[in-house]
Amino acid sequence: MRRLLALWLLLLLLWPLAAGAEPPDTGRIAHILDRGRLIVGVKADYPPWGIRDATGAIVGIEPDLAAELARRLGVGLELRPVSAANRLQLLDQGAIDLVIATMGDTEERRRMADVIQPPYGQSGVGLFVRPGFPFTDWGQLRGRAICLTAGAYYNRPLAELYLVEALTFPTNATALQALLDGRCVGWAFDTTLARSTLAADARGLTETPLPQILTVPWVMAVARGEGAAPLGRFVADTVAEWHRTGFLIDRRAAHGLPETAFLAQMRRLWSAEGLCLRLPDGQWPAECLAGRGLRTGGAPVALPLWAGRIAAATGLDLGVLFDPFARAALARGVWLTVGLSATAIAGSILAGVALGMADHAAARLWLLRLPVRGVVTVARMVPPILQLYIVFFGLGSLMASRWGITPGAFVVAGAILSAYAGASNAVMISAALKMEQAQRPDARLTTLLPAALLRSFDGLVAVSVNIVKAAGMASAIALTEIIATVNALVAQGASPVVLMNLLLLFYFLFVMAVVAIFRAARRLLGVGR
Amino acid sequence: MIAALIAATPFLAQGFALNLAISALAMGLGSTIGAMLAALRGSGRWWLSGPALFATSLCRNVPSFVLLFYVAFLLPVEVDLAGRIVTVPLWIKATVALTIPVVGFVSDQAQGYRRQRSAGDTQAGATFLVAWLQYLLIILMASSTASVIGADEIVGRANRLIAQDQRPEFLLLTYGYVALWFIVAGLAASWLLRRVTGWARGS
Repeated sequence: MRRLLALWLLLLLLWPLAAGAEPPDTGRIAHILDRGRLIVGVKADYPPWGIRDATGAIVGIEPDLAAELARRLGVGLELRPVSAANRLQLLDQGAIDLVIATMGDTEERRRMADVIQPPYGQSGVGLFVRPGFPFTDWGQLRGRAICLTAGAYYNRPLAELYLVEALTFPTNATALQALLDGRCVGWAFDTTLARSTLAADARGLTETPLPQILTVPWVMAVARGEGAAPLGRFVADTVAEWHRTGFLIDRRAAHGLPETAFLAQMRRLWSAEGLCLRLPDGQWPAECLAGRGLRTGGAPVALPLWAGRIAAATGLDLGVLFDPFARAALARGVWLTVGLSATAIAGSILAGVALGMADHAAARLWLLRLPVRGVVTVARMVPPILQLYIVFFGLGSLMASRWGITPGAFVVAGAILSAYAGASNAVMISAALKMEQAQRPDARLTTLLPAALLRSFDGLVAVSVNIVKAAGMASAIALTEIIATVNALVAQGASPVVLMNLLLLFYFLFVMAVVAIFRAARRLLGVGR
Repeated sequence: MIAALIAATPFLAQGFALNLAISALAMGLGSTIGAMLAALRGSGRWWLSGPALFATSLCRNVPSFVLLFYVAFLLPVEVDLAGRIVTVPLWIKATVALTIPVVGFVSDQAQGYRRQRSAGDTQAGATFLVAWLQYLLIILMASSTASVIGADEIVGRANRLIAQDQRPEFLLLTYGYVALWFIVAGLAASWLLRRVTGWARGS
């Protein structure tokens, strides 16, 4: 065991080196011309900025901007749908050449990618609420549950500055449904989102009169090192020209958005004779830009000496481990993951024994057996992630409207994972009982059970391990377990290599502990190997 | 809403074909590698069984949900095939990520099979087959998570439909419909399972 651990740690140290060893791509623009296509990451769920039309094609203001850039380069265009949580990773990996995806300019993002100046838009944070919303000031929301969409720049400031309790959902649609079900007092959203398509007004939701907060400029981004390279300069010069010609105002108008004071001011600035020209160092004059990016992370942390040495030697930024906000979030994530896993393992074995014995006992009574089989079939054959959605939003909505009860994410995830794994266990236990009974026809069911459990032991361990690993899916219904926490921290600018390796190490040790507990249980059951 | 779903059925069916392909490939590849690891573990030579045991525990312990992100991060995005730049499809990355847990599972299961065989259990083969087919179903379910890295399978396609029509009722209806597809496939698989176990016990 100790040797295994040492080898694993060695691998951990070597892995990021291998991953980071690719030579930097020096001429992205040459690569694009070579490929004959410009690949742009855009939103596909953010009308009218980027949304799929009836044929499945992505259309909107940002696709229009991407198309104009590709036309000027003389290459084809490929639009890749991205989310707020993954767009800069895809850029970093080289999966896309350029991000035009409703991205606010923040200091954290400037460290993850090269941000294109000038910005092409601006937005802030507003709140959608149910009727009868009593608050008049953001400060009153302290300690209240607010629904958020994963990856948004304002998630951390809302939690840190306004001290709201954050419930983070993967998509706008799911966050909105959670608000309707009364899981939160409001859904924080970007003020540029076209509200008509959310169907929110039809369901009695309204926008609060609370003032817009956390205003940020919207920027395009290219991979690190490309900002000053020909690709970055080409995109920046094109955006600058768009401000002069009013192209951005026209594209907004074409998609039904009103003119904004921000774009009007930018047009005045950039049209002024001789004002907004590149300085000798290649930068634009500060007065032509919309100010610095917002800081959405914590204050810079002081690294201990050893962490600084690791950073200097390997490029691994361990800063996230010394940021109190991130540490508290990671600790909470670990706790929730362990708690949910323990609940689901206990639940799945109990459900497996109960359903397996019922199935076996009712072997000759098909009328009794049918409902048991039905439950087992549905629980086993619907992917857990779909079960989570259906129960959380389907049954959850029903219970909320009928009885005013809203089951929490932990309860729903624990029950679903227990049922899903319990159904698999039931099939194995029932089959094992059948085999045991063939050998001892006269024995009672309860006396056969320990032998049947031992016979299906490897399978039970495998299913339990599987359930521990599936627990991360609970992040889809706003449970901030460890995977959701890691993804949120990476989206806020923490090093993905460090956090992903830590996540692997955590699961490696956690699953090893689970297997060790099962071994001890097997010894307790009385039979060795 | 129902008309929209019926219209989208061929679109979803194509996505589901990808789920089946990913699962079949991952099971095939993973079983081959897993069986080889199990043979190494049983070889009786520590310098073969040690690394094989380590590789097995690595594959066994790391969630495919995390591996998806990892593989997406490590495999190259584009490859140069005879001068033409080709994008590596995301479903290939999803297949690689889902192969890894299968390797760990089959390596362990084959070990258990050998143990039961040497204990004189004639049903060991049937036990192995039942567990393997069960796992096929688990991998089919797990293939739905490939949507998190953007693979174009059925849940990813359902999410695309939902992004177009963000009404909550449509969300439920679409997810329910997709669940039905998985139930039908699962029922077909368990019919196969019964046939196979009947055959295994008969022989």
